[in-house]
Amino acid sequence: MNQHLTESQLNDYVDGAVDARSRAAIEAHHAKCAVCRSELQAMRSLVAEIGELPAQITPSRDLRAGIAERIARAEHHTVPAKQGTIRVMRRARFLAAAAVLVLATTTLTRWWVLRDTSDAPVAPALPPAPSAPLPVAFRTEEARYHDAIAELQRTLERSRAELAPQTIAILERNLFIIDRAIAESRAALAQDPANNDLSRMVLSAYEQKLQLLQRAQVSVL
Amino acid sequence: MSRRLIGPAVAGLLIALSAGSLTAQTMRKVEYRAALDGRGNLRIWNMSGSIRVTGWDKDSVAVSGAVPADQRFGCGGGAAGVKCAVDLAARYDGIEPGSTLMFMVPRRIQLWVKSSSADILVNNFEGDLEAYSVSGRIRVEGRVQTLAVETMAGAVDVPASSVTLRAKTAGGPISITGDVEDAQVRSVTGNIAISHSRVQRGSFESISGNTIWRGTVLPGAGLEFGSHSGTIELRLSPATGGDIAVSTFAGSVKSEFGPATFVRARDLKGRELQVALPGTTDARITIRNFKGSTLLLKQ
Repeated sequence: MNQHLTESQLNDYVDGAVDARSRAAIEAHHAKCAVCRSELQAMRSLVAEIGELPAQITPSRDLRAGIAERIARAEHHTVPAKQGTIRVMRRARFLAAAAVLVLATTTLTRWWVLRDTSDAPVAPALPPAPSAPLPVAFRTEEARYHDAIAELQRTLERSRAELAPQTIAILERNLFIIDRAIAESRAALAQDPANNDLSRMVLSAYEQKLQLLQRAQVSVL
Repeated sequence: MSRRLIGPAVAGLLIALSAGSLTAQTMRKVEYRAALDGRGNLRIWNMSGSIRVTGWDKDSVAVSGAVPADQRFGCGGGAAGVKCAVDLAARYDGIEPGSTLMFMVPRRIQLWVKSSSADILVNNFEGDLEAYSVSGRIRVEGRVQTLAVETMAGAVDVPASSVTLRAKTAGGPISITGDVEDAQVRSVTGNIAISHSRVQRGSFESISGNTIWRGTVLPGAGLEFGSHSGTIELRLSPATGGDIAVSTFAGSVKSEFGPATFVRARDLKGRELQVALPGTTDARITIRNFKGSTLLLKQ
């Protein structure tokens, strides 16, 4: 075995899926090949880190019990638990000049994206308290949404650096639209507090906001 | 060359050269094979490029594809479950060429796929599937048991039939043409289209995206449509029977069933508009549209 080991051979070896004869040959090659020893070590690290990735998608513990229960009833899945980040050494493949050009392009792209998002409208503040009292059941539900949404927003803010600029732009655009919908429908509900359809429309918009934030959280590795 | 043209020319040259260096990046082939129980699970992470998963009748998983030379690909696990990932350290989002991976899997496994900009295509699959992307397109074919797809901006295309379907996007459009017993579909600004799909129970909601239903409604089916400002359009076949209840706060309703009707929210004065469908089925359809248009049309 004079040539370097293939990735398939390395995978099989790491998985223990080779027979004794192949194993002996691979180990003999490792003993004299620093390149393949390095590849094997990197492969073992990757597989170990893959093993640390979540086995299941479980509901976020951030959510208040009531909201989490509602979602569990209505949904099949939600947000992953904390996920490990694989850090794999990346080999340099580009010439220095090409790297500079890539950097220049990336910088231009980032500038363009960030410039675009910085122009995005600011989401309206939550609506003021209504003049007419809203039903207790609605207010209770709304408070739960506020708490769950605030918790998710704090979590996302902490991991904002891990979100791609494009993802942030999509998120902010859609949050703005949802917040506007909440403000409009809630203002209407304030004028007609007994209207169950309006109440459901407002809560549905809150649910959309909650789920959008959860989707954004899923996109954070 | 005048001075005014030098700046744009240099910028264009930079972009062209860097794009050339990216597309010229070396790809290397990858392969992996392992035993996987027919009811086992497979988890796939590939942020950029494409992921194609096809079900087969063997108790094993086979992976082949091409990965950028500076990225790692690896799989691990046992017969009960396998995880495969391409270098997760980087944030690609379409900037790099990404990895092209093809998986052959036992058709009834539990499958979980995560991407950022990578397109996800699953076909000939009959197990449980969860698929996530940020901007990558997701398409699912086959007869899936439970299907959950989520994306921020990618398009979702589901010709697959499934027992349960959960599809959610922010801005991506959702198209459903397969039969579904229980569907829950949500978008914020993305459009939702359900075409000739047999849905027993369904909830379709958007904030500003439009929702279009085309086709018949199953006997005894219960469907709910909701939007804040999007148009909700139901094009129903003549065989559809039952009731439609529409509530709107500031929108309008146009109906071709019974006496042709066009009403604005102020005319309803907070009441629901009840529309009786002439067919023999007994479907129950509820529509809540805050300020968008609702169209009830004959197909």
